[in-house]
Amino acid sequence: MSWTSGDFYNQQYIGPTSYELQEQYTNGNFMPSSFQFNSQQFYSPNEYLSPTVSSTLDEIENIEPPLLDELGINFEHTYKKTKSVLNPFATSDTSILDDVDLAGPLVFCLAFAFSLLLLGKIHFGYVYGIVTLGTVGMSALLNLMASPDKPCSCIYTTSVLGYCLLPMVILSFASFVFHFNGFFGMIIAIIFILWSSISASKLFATSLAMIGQQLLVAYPCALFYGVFALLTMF
Amino acid sequence: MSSRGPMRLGKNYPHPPSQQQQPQQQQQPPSQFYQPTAPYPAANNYAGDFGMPQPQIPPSYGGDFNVPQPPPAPSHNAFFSPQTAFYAPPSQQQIPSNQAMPGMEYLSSNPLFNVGLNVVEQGMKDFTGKTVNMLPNEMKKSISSIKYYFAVDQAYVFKKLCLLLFPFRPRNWSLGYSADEPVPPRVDTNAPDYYIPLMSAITYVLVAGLVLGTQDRFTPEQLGMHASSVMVWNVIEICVLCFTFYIFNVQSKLRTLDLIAYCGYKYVGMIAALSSYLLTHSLFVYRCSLLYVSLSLSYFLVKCLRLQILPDTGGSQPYGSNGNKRRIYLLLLVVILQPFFIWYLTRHLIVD
Repeated sequence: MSWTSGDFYNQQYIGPTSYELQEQYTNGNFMPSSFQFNSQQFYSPNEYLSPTVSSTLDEIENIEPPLLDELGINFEHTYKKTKSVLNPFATSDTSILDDVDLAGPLVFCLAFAFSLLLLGKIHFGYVYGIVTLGTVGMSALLNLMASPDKPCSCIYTTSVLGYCLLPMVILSFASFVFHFNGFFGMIIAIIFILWSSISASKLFATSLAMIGQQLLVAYPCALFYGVFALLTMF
Repeated sequence: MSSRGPMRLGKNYPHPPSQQQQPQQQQQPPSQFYQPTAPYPAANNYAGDFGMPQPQIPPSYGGDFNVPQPPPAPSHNAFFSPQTAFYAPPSQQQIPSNQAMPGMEYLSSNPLFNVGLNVVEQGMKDFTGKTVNMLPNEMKKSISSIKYYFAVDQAYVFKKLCLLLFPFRPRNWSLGYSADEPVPPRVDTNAPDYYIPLMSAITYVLVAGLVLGTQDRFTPEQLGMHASSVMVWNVIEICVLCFTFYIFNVQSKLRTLDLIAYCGYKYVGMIAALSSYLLTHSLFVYRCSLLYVSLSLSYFLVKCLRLQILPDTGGSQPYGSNGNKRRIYLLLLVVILQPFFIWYLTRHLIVD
């Protein structure tokens, strides 16, 4: 082109104005529109981000279940089961029985051992040992006695026996307040043992469909809780 | 399908009808090979068995030196072989094959013995959460034979307890059988069980703890010590009795598992004696109850075991006539051991 002074100043500007230029750059594009080909030909960050991750951090928390669900602790069920233990003669809600959890039994065992601390006896090891031996023995006995199509797992036995430990916990806390010695104390202990074993055997007999064997199941439970009563009283 | 061991089933005793003759013949040679004393004259053994084939004679007699027998599974174990514990019809030993067997109808009529491999598998799978194929066959058979002893119900337990404490009423003491298998305890009051011995042994431990507690001698270790002593003395007693059966070469239909049950009934008497002492704190009452409990337990055991150890009076004499005296002595030994243990296991709990 000729560079005469007249031509230079007479050229018409055909490029984009400054406003248009600014528009191009505000959309996140790094190149002016004249150089924008098909968006598929070069990288545009917006198109490669998945819509979920690109949103906030809340969605990441929703993928994992809440902590109590993961631990299997369901306070509603725990409360219902505790109520059914406290009242063994009321009909229990069978749906809660299938939910096998060990948190309630653990709490009750620890509470029992702590109540023994109040009496000056440090028997954590004995409580643990008796619970272990008792539940293993009880589940073996139930598996041998019940019909083969209704097996009973150790965890289920632990759960039932642990929940029905609640009256023994009450007994041991009460024995700190009232000293149970002598004949009267033995009668009270026997009442509590019977309370625990009736609720435990009721749960076992209904869930394992043992007909005419409830007393036979109640007796080993009574022996199991009798050991705890011995630990409390003597 | 005789079980080999100290409690050997007599050869001519009416066995469970062998539904398959073949497997019985195959089962017999290994056990006869290891039998210490052959009840039959071993004339057949010397008849041309060195290299001469004898197709007619069943391989039990002539084939011992010819035919290499596969080593039997622990059936030749002297004392505690699972096979002595397993008193079952031969059809149940063919468990790996799942065909319908002619013996199965006897099994199915008795629901307790209807524990086939699949049922045990299912139960154990739910129990342990793993597949049960890892369990050996012998264990499954033992579990099913032990299950027989736990098939009890409340009425049976009540009747048996009353019987243990007062057996002097005239009654029929014979065991019931259905198709030559013993009927489960739920049906027959005379059958032995394991529920009462087990529960009474644990109750004994607790009552001992209670007695010690009233004497201010209780610590939780005492519970463990009493439980261990119960177990150990039981084991010693069963060992002594099995050894005596073996030494005397007495073949009776009493199984080892039955003997364990009968030896466990003494704990009921022990608890009765201890409770009487606990209630009255009087040595005289304790000694009287000890005497009464010993008498009633001895009477009970004599009546129960007489039919099993002593030979049948009406039948032929398969056991030999001079075996009778040994059997009587054996019965007396069983019966005298029980009061001795009752006294020995309670005396340290009694203080003047």
